[in-house]
Amino acid sequence: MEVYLPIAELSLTWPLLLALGAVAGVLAGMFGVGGGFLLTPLLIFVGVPPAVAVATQANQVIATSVSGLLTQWQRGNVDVRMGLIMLLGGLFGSTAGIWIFGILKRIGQIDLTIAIGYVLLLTSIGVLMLVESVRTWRRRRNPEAPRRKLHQHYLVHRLPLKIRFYKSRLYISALLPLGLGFVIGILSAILGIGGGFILVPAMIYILGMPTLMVIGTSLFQIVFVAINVTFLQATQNQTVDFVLALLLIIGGAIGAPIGGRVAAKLPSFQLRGMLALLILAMAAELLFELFARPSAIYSLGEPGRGS
Amino acid sequence: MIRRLAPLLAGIVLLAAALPAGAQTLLFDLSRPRVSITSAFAGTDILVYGALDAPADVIVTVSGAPSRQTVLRKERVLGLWVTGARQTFDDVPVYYAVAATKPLAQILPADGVPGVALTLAERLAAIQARGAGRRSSEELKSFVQGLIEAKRRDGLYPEGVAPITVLAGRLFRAELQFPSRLPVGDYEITAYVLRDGQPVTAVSKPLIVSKAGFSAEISEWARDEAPLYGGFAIAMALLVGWVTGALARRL
Repeated sequence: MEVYLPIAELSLTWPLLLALGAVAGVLAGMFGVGGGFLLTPLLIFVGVPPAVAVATQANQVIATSVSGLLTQWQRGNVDVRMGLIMLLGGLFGSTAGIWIFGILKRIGQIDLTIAIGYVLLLTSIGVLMLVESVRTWRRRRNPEAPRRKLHQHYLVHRLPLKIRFYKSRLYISALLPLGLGFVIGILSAILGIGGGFILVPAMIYILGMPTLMVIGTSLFQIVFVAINVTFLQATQNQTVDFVLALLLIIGGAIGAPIGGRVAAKLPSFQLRGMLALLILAMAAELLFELFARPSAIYSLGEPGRGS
Repeated sequence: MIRRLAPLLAGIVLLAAALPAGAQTLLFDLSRPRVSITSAFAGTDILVYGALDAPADVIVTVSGAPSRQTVLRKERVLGLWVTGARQTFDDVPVYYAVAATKPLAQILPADGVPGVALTLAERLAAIQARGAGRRSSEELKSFVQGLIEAKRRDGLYPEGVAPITVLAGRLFRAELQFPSRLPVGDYEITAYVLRDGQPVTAVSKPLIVSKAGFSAEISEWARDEAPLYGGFAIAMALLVGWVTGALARRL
C-alpha cells in the first residue's frame, strides 16, 4: 500500500493520497473551488516537505480546473479580454512569488509564512462568505429586506487606463484585473493554491463582474497561472512530484462528481455557509498551531545564509 | 534467501575453521550490497552475517554518507513559535545505527575506546559546527541533541542497539532494519571484533542506497531534463483533468 514519492523522497500510503485528492475533488465539485487551501496543509501534515507540497499542488490545480474551463468556454462564459489582462498580472505575480518563495526557504521562514498566510487568508474569506450566506438566508425568510445595489461605485472605479469589457458589460481600469491577477499569482506560488476562492469573490465584489462570467474567467486565469507555477517550480526548484500529483489528480477525479451531486441537492447559501465554516475551522486550527508549543523544538532544515 | 545463503555460510565456516587460532580474523558480508529505493519502497532489512575465529564480542556500526545538516530551533516571539536560531554541522552521518552482541556497557570500557567512534554520541562528537564561534558549548550541545531528536523522528538514528546473535561462538548474524525515509548515498557498514573491551579487528563494507526503477528514472529526469519534466507534468495534468472531466459529465 506504500508508494515511494521520488521527489518528496518518502513513502506514503497511496490510498491516503487518493483520499486527500478526493476530499479536494469533493470540494471542487461542491463549491467550484480547487480545494488547494485544504490540500496543501494536509500534505505538509502527512510529512511532504512544504516546498514539494506547494509545487505539486500547482500541478494538481491544472487538472481540477481544466475541465471546468473547457465547459465554461463552450458555454461562452469566459471574458477573454478580462482573462488575458488578469493572466498577464498572474504570470508576473507567480514568477515573483516563486522568487520570494526561494528566499523565504533559504532563510528558514517558509513554513511560518505559509501558516500565517493561510490564517489571514482563510479568516477573511471565511468571514466574508459567512456574512454573505447569512444575508442571503435572511432575505429568503424575509423577501422585503433591502437588497444590495446591483452595481456599486467605489474609489477603484476612478483609476486610469479604462477599458471596455463587452462580455462583462464593464468599463473599468485595466489596472484592476492586472493588479488582482498579480496578487493571486503571488499567492498561488507561495501558498500553492489556485486562488479560486479569493478570485471569485474579488471579481464579483471588486471588479463588479456578472456572476455568470466569473467562474469561467477565473478558471482561465487559474489554469494558466498554475501551468506557469508548475513549470517554474519544476525548472528552478525541482519540487514537482509527478507521482504525488498523479495520485492527487486521480483522487480528485473520483471526488469531483460526488461533490457535484451533493451540491445539486443543497441550496447554494447553505453550501456557502458550510464552506465558510470549514474555512474558519481550518484557520482556527492553523492559528492554534502557531501559538501552541510545538511537539518538536528542533527540526532539520535547508542550509541557509548566516548559518 | 536462506537457500542462497547456505553455501556461503558453509564456506565461511570452512574458512574460519582453516584459520589458525589467535589471528583475530573477521569475515562478514551483507545479504545485499545495495538497497534499491523503488516505487514500492517501505523500508527494508539487511542481514549482516560473518564468522569469527574465536569467541568474541562483535559490534556492527552502520553509518550513512557524511553530509551537511542544518538544525533549526523554534523560538517564541510575541506568543508565536517561529524558526529562530539555526546551526549547520558538517560531516553528519545521514543515518547511524549500532548492533552488538551484548549491551554496549558490558562490552566497552566506561570512557569509550580512544580514537574509535562506536556509539552515536561518539560519532557525533566528531561533527563540525560551522561558524559557531559565538555559541556557547552548552548551546551547541543542545543543537546536537536537537539533531538527534529530529533524526530519530524519521527513524534515521534508531534508539538502542540491535542484537547480534552468535552461533557456537563462531558465526554471527544481525538483522539491520532500515526505515522508509532512507536518504540515498554510500553507507558504510563496519564490524569490530573486541577482546577485553578493545577492538582488535575492524572490517568495512560499503552499502549503496540508491533510487532504482521508475522512481530513479523520475528523479533523474526531474533533475537532468527539468523543462521537459515540467512540461510532461503539465501535459499529464491537462490530459487527465480533461478526460476525467469529460467522463464525469457522461455518467
